[in-house]
Amino acid sequence: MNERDDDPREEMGAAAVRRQAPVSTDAGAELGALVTRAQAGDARAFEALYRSTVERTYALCLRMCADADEAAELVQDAYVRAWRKLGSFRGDSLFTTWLYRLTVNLILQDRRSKGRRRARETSHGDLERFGQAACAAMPGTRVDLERAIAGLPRKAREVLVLRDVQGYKYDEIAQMTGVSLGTVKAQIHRARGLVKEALER
Amino acid sequence: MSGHITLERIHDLVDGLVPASEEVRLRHHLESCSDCRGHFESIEATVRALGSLPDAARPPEAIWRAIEGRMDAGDAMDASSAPEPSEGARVVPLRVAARGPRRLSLTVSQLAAAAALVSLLSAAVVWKALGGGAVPGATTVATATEEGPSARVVALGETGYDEAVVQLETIVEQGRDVLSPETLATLEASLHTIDEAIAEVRTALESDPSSELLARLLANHQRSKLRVLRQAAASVQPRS
Repeated sequence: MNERDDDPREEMGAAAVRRQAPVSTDAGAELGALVTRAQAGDARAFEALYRSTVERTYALCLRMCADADEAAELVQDAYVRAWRKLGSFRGDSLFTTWLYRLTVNLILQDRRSKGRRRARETSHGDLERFGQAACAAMPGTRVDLERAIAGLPRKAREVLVLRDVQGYKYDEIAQMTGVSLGTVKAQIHRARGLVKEALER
Repeated sequence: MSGHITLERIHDLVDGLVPASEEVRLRHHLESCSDCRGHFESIEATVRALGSLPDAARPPEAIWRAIEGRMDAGDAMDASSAPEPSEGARVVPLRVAARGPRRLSLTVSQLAAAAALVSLLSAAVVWKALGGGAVPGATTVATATEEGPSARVVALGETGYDEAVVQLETIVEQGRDVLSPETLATLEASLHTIDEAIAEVRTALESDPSSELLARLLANHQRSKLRVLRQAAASVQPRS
């Protein structure tokens, strides 16, 4: 079946609820004021925006890349790009929505530009190291699940994280990745199966 | 209902994508079918676990210092109103492997010749996608848009096509280390071109869903993609 943007039924998972969690009026107003100051060139205001949002941005990058060093590079690039593009942010969406979308686009672009230079396979040692990094950065997380996600092929990992961890809709993911809705769904269904298998091993 | 619920529909049910009337029927089936209930509960548990992962991670402190340095160093704010990051369709290319011990450099004709070896591989799915038989649950472009019979002949089953693409991409991903970076770059460029063509025709079909010509074009482009992927999959298959 086709999805509709206005179909509220899809937004029922824990990830979707979390992504759409309301920002309190005070917090929203504070972020809005910081954005306005940062748009005027106030670097301290931009640092405050960074401090308010970076933990979620880093978690997104960490899971999408399954590599702590690469994630740190991407976070850096994302905020530098956000600083440069802040003038084009018109407030049509929440600042955080704009920032996370910018970050996802950057991650997808980065894979295309750097993919040729990087080894494809994730070794057992890589997964062990990543598991340790994930636990250090996210105390209390499920290390078996983090390793299972990290062990997925990169494309499968990206769409799974976008859907089941970040809570994006299927059609949003199709738009971001440039593949058909059916292919995105098939990739995510397969990725869920692979995660389940990894957890059972 | 008779028979089991398809895995795809179970995922839809977990995702809340099933119409209310059908959901009642499916949940009624789950009560009486332990196989389907087992699949449903397993997928639901996996999705719930993924959705419950923490969404915040402590970054290294050095990141801000690096950002600040780049801001100071002339990464000035660009107020030229570049579009907000809501870029549209883009093609996600296949990654090119690092140099490994076992690589082949193949010409297109060699790739084509190797395609014969994939005949047993993904045969059922690809055959169905190419119109060789009915795909359970598949919806053709034509029937989805209530077009005439001639368009129905050429349109591919979207479900079968998507399954075939994912299956073949998986095979290529898993075996890509045997291909040289140059061959992979050529493959990637070919798929990129085809994906762009598919996206263009799909956009046109949204405006003119009854166009038989567009339906044919879409089917042709999809066949081209499957053909290239089959050739690539054949090339990376281990020889026994």
